[in-house]
Amino acid sequence: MIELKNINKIYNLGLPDESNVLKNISFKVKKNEFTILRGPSGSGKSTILSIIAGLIKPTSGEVIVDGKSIAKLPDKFAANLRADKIGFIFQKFNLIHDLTAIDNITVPLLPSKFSKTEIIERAEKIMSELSIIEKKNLVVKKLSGGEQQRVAIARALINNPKIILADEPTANLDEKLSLSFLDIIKKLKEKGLTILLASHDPVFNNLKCIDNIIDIHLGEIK
Amino acid sequence: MNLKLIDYALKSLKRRFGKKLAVTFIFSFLVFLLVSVFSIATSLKTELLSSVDALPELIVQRMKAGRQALIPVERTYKIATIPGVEKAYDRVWGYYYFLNANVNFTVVGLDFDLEAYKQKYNDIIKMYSNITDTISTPYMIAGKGVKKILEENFYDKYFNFIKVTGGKVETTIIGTFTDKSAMETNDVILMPENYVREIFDIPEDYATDIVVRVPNPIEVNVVKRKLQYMFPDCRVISKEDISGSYQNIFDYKSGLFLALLIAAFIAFFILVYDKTSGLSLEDRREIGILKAVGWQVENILQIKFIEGIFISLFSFFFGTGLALFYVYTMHAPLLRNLFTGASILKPTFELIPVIDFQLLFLVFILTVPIYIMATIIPSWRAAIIDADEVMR
Amino acid sequence: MSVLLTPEVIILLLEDLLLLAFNTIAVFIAYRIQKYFDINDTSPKQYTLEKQTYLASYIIKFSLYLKIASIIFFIFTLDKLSAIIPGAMCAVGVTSASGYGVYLLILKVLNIYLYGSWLLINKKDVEREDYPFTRIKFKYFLYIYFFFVLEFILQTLYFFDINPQQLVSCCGTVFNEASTSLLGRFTQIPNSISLPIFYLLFILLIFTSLKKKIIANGIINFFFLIISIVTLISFFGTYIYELPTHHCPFCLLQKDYYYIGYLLYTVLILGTFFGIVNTFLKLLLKIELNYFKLSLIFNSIYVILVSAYPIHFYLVNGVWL
Repeated sequence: MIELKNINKIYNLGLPDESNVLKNISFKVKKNEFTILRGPSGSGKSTILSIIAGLIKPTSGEVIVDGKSIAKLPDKFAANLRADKIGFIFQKFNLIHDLTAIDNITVPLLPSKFSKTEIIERAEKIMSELSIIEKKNLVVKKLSGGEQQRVAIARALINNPKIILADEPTANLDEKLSLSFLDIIKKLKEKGLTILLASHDPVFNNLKCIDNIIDIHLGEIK
Repeated sequence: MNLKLIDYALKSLKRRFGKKLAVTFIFSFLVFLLVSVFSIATSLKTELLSSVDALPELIVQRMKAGRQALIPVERTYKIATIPGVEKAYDRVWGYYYFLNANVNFTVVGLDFDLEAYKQKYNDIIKMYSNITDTISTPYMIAGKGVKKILEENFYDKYFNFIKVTGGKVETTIIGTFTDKSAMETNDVILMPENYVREIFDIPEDYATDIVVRVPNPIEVNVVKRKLQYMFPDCRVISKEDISGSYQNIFDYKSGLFLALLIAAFIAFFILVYDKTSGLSLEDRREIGILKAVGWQVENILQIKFIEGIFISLFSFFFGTGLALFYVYTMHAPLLRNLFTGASILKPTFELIPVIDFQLLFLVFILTVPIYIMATIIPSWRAAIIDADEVMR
Repeated sequence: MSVLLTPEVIILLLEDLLLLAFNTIAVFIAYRIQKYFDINDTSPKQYTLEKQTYLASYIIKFSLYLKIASIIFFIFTLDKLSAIIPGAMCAVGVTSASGYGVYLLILKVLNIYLYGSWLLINKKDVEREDYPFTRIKFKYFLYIYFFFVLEFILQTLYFFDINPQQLVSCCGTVFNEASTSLLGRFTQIPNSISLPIFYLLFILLIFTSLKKKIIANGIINFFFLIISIVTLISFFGTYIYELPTHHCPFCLLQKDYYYIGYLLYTVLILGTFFGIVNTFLKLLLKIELNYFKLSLIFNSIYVILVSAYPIHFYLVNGVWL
């Protein structure tokens, strides 16, 4: 499902503050696998996820997502990729604070051809499954951390993605919420999604449902 | 472009209401100014053009050293013999300067027994003919504006004209008149012709000008040329000349004002550009998030465009509404002087409401596209924000 | 009083000036893109260029829509000016008030075709992930820009050139059978020749559309455009006005005739545009488009509408004009 071949990412190439964030990264994630990208902060995990999502272009190398090479895709097609196939759960949730929960969740599908009613139906279904349906019309900044996270997850699911990318999803959660997050992820895996999760949270160590762990340190795979 | 995006754009405007207020306000104000000026111009023009209709086809004025001079009455008979001419009358009238109020009155001499050349005066004559038959002292009928000014200066039943040759003519005010075209008759005083001659010292065999009725419009220019040939010391003005010159003056004056406003619009353009360029951190973050979840550059541009259209349309209608209220309900206190300020001071009057859709269309086409153009580059700047940078 | 100070003219010139400024920005971008753009390059420079394509495209898209509104506004202005310019009773008189008039009008329509064609290429370009036409389309824009500047200059010259004191001819004289002007000659082609050509070309259009012959279809569309205008002036127009001597192409746009002119010209321009653009792009830029269907639909609407008038007249009156 996801394949990286010799990915390099260098910021400010040729300038005095040049930094080589990723060095020759190669790995594969098969369909329906749950893979952890493990490593301390600053190791380049977020960058890898961003490259897979088409948010950043690698300096060199190839990225293949669901059979398609995306490294050189222009913005329009990269955006389509994200809208079609990927659900991204960000480290800081990245919700739009002044919007309600349901508005946040439906945002990804607004440019699409689906009707408003269809989108709202979907959103409500997902919100029910995640037990946040009662909060749907509340403005996001008034929700608790756990609730915000579930809104972020719901948003990542609204477009029926094939791939879930999660960047340090448990960084701002307590143990109880972290475990409930894990539950949700397990259920998603059961539904057939491919999951790539970047984290250095020990809660992900030694879990049976995890298919693969990739260790990243200073931009290189160990 | 779809409805959901439009919905998002409008909701997003609501959220950022305060910031957009300044731009909306200024834009509305500019529209307000434009529509006001044009409305006043249109209103005045309509009045004047409608009054032109009542005029005779040709007016013959004698010129001496470039200024108007008295014309011999006997020329009237000569003119009447030209084929195509139905009638020719001499007119006795002049401008009387009233020192106390610093205004000019137009004093028109009428023969109350004869049919006058202006429809409205005919009606007035009919109205007062029973009174005028019985009075042997000087009398006058004053226009509404005149009456008001005279009253302000404590002349309510009579008025003293000071003669050119010294001495005065005490005139009884026997009535007032108003007309739909207020501008025309507002400053007019009607009096028997002989008293007007007395006031302005116009001898019996002379008149102020001669008017000529030519019923067939095709013949007007021919008669005009003949008259010009007949009396080389005169200028002959046709109805067409007058309406053409009115049209030109209004276009000129409004054109001038427009040129000024364009300067204002350019300043506005820069302002809009500047204001919409600076995106707050929150805004940038929002756009980054939108792109991260799958929105294209195109979609962000669409949102910005919808916002722009909405603000400009709203401001346009708001500014226009305000302007129409200002001009036709409040009668445009300050701006009207732009047009009516002339060498001849006239009393104030009311403006006739004329809503000219062509005019509104004109203002629309000037203002809305310029606003949108001012937002092109800022919108683009917003749309190309890198999702990645913003979210770190 | 110079014609220039009428509000309509000032607005027209101002907005065109602004549009020119924006298109100049676009042309600078276009130059850089057609020179350096490389979809396979992953350097920041390429990335910047990609971002700039959005600005240029946005400007060009906006320009097209504004130009369409502007040409309507232009005709409207000409009509208004006819009240000031002696002898002019409609836009025809105003157009002929200056030598530049006719060329300006033709150029304006041409530019709409050009901008429209660019947007079609753009549409095709962004459908494919490798943006195959980006460099070509921006190179093409360099030429389009030239025509726009030409139009701008002509327009300014035109308005400066009009002398409000000088008498001009109106459609009565311009389109007279005895006239010697270029436009006048149109009416001198006998209807017995121009009408059959008109319908013949239309049938050929149907034929070439169905057979998908791009080049032939485009060429025929071009001639169809010309013959349509000729027959409109010399034949169909008279049935719209119900007056055998009224040959004016502008009076159709007035209220008295229910503004039918706008509809007629719009469908004619759209129909021929979609036909010609195929050929033009194939020959010059080797891009294949096939808007046959659209072209045929619009052209057919035109033919039906325009034929309806004489037929209706005959049915009602029992005779031809």
